[in-house]
Amino acid sequence: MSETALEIKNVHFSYGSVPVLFDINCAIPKNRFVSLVGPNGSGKSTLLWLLSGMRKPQNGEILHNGINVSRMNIQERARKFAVITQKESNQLSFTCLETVMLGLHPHRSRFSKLTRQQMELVWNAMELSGVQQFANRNITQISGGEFQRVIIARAIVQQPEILFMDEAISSLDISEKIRIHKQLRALMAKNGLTVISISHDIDTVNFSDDVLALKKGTMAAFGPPNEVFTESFFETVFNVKAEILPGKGFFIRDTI
Amino acid sequence: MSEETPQEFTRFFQKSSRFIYYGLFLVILTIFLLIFSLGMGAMDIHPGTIVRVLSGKISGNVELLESIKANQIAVVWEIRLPRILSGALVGAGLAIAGCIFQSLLRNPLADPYTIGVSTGAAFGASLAILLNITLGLFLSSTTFAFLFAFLTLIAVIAIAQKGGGILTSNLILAGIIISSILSSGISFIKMIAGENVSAIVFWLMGSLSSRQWNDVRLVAPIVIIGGLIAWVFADDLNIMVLGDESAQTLGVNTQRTRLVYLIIGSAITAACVSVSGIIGFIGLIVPHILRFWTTANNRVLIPLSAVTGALILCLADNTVRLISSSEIPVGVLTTLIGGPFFIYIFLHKPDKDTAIL
Repeated sequence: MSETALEIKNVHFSYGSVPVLFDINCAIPKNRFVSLVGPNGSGKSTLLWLLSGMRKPQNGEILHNGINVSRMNIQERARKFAVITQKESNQLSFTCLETVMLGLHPHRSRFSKLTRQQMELVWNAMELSGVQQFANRNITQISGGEFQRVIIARAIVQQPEILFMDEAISSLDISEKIRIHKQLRALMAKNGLTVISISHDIDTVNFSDDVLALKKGTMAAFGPPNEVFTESFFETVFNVKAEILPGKGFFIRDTI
Repeated sequence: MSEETPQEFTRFFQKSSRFIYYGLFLVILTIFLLIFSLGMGAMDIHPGTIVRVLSGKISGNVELLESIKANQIAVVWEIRLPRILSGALVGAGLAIAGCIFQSLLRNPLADPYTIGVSTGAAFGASLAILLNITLGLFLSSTTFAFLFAFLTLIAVIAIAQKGGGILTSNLILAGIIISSILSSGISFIKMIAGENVSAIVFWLMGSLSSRQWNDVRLVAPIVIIGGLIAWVFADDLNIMVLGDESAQTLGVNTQRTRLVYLIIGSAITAACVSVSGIIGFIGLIVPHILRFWTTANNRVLIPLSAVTGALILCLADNTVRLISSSEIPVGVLTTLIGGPFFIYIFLHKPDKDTAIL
């Protein structure tokens, strides 16, 4: 039986008086690639923020190794969880290399010298996400997809136990997406990393081990994609007609 | 994985050690400029005499001082040195505060005056000058400036705190609002001052003339201690640039870091403005251009900006001392030259990040 990375117990969350998530219960196993899916506004991003300890649920709790994630020390948490957000931007002219090196921050004390190991960690992470060639380029001068890959490299440098991604690879082209997926898989095999990723790309969700589907703030399904993705699932959660091709995936039949 | 240190890394390290040499070079240049400036003016004094006055005064060597003419000592030690030191400290302080606010507000076009602390100082000084003229009081415009700068900061933070934490966008907004209210206040004070308005106007233009040791004593500890704290926590400031959410995921307590840097940045700005009035463009241009030429890493950028700021303001002040007997306020010169220079730099930047406007 595999260990649990995160245990979600009776989680409720609302923004002011607007309820967003109701009674979420789930145990996310370690070393899995979990995709959070659901229609717009179903509460995926909110759940990701709660899971990563950045926000606190009004009711219920989320445990990592028996510790409530919202009560973890902020630096301690940054050593265990890395989060890639959709919103990050940087207007000041840091280089890509400098930006990736910021991932070392939770692991370094002030004024400590960069070790050879840390250098290699940074360099290999940049190789993994394919941004080595513009290491000394200005972060304000690269494209959106390149920026995303720089942030992915930074998250890997954080050496997290759990990597949270909010649409982190959505702006990459399909070959880049698959390449990053493969690289993350290799990293998972090596470090026992757990990945929790929000994706609107139902196609790439097929690569994940588990799917956690949300609909209007409630959990609609949790399990491996071939079990979760049924014709009735697409009908009820996404309100589209789909055809399941056994062993190959699915095909969205609705046409415009 | 690889046996050799990757080439890009070596390049990065070479880059950062080169900045140390830049810095040292600028420090030496500034020291020479300070000594040269002390000799300059209505009374020409030989650099050798200056070094003797300085070493005699600092070591308390009475014999050495007795061998120098008393009026030379007075001119160097009592008149020129405080002014030049104030200038260097104000220049350094404004540049440090510029680094802080550009990173904190995540905007390369922010400057120490963006959140309105300087307008608060200006209002305080104008009020003091007005009360002195109309009521015959002897209020210190410096103290009043400093006091009102801090009151402004408190007001800005209080407004920006709407909705829990202090948001960057709220800070800028609150700064603009408070600034415009205080600007109108200043206009009102000028109107009441009637024909005595020139004292206020001259203060507002920013000048270093007739600064005294008292001014150095106010500005020196704040700029030096504030600058050191800013430098020590520079890693956190670098991460604040990424925005709150990302900064928190990297282990930075954003609320605390922001408050610390707001207070340091504002204290430095308040001290500078209360000593010299509003000297424009140093706090914007120096960090902006150095970031572009060297690095955005605040651990390197803060000390480099400090030295460069000191150097530039000294140069500007020497220029106004030299070019006219009825001194042009140095604040006018920095903006007059700094503004067009900034436009030139902006138009000739080879990169694409024009989105900042």
